[in-house]
Amino acid sequence: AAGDELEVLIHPTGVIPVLEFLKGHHAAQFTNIVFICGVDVPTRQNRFEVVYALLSLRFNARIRIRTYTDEIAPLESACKVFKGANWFEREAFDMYGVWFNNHPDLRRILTDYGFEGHPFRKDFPLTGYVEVRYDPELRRVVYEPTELAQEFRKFDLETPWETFPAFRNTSITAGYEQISLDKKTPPQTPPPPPSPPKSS
Amino acid sequence: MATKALSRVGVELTKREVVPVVSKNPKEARKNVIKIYKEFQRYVPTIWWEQELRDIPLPQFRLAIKNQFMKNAHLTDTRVVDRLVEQAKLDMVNFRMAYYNDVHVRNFLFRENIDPKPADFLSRFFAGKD
Repeated sequence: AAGDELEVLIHPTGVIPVLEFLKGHHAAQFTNIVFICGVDVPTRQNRFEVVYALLSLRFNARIRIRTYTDEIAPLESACKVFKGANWFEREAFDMYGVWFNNHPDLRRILTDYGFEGHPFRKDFPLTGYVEVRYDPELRRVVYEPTELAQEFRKFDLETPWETFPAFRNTSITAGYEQISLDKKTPPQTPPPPPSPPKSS
Repeated sequence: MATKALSRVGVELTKREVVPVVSKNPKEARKNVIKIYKEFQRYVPTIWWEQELRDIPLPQFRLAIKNQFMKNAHLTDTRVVDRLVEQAKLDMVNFRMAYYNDVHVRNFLFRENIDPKPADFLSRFFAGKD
């Protein structure tokens, strides 16, 4: 964590007790929930990490609680501890597909109804799975698999100086005469320019 | 020594144990599936009427709902089944609150009605693509 902020790494079943303790204990009083968010690390066995950030106004302290889950295993909803967790959990569900048990209203929140997939997963394609268009014959909106009219462009970002590979190690000031402002010392002669490639 | 070995076994056992999520055993999971399936089939006429899907015959609509369930008939893992049941309940709420429109319903159930996209150059040209 940044600075001296505290992070607590807990087992998924311990979310509610830990949040209850931090909110209710007299020496903690983390009564504000700042955010709940997900992290996707596909290489891990439990690929999703869920982070709860709390703020204690009484002691001017912040704390972060991190737990983990996978695509299937649900977490217990924090709504009964923090009312404000409702939309954060909906967001985590929408973006990562993390399921929260006993959530009062677990719907998508950022994407539209009928959206497919969870956009913040690392394996979600940049273009999405389906595209939507109005079909005048069917007189309704149809969903179709995404089809790119063109491949992604791949830019060649090599330096333009490589057009002169023969001069790669040559100083760009080599051809200039260096003039000394001090009259006593004679002007230094620049090093001889590299011999041009012999034309045969 | 023996207690140590025993405790190690115990740790391994507790590690491997999968926490039941909603249902305790496959039987209960199956019961939940059937419950939500019946709820869906009871609610089908309402969806069919309210979402202006009356161009589809009702039995065909019921069959499409059934197909959505039969698609996952091969699943045996209780956790996965429970998760799908929870999602079905969520869909049910979305239908009841009219968050889903006829477009979504058609997209879920009758996607195969969409013509395949033109693949070769001439048919793309005739379809007005590019």
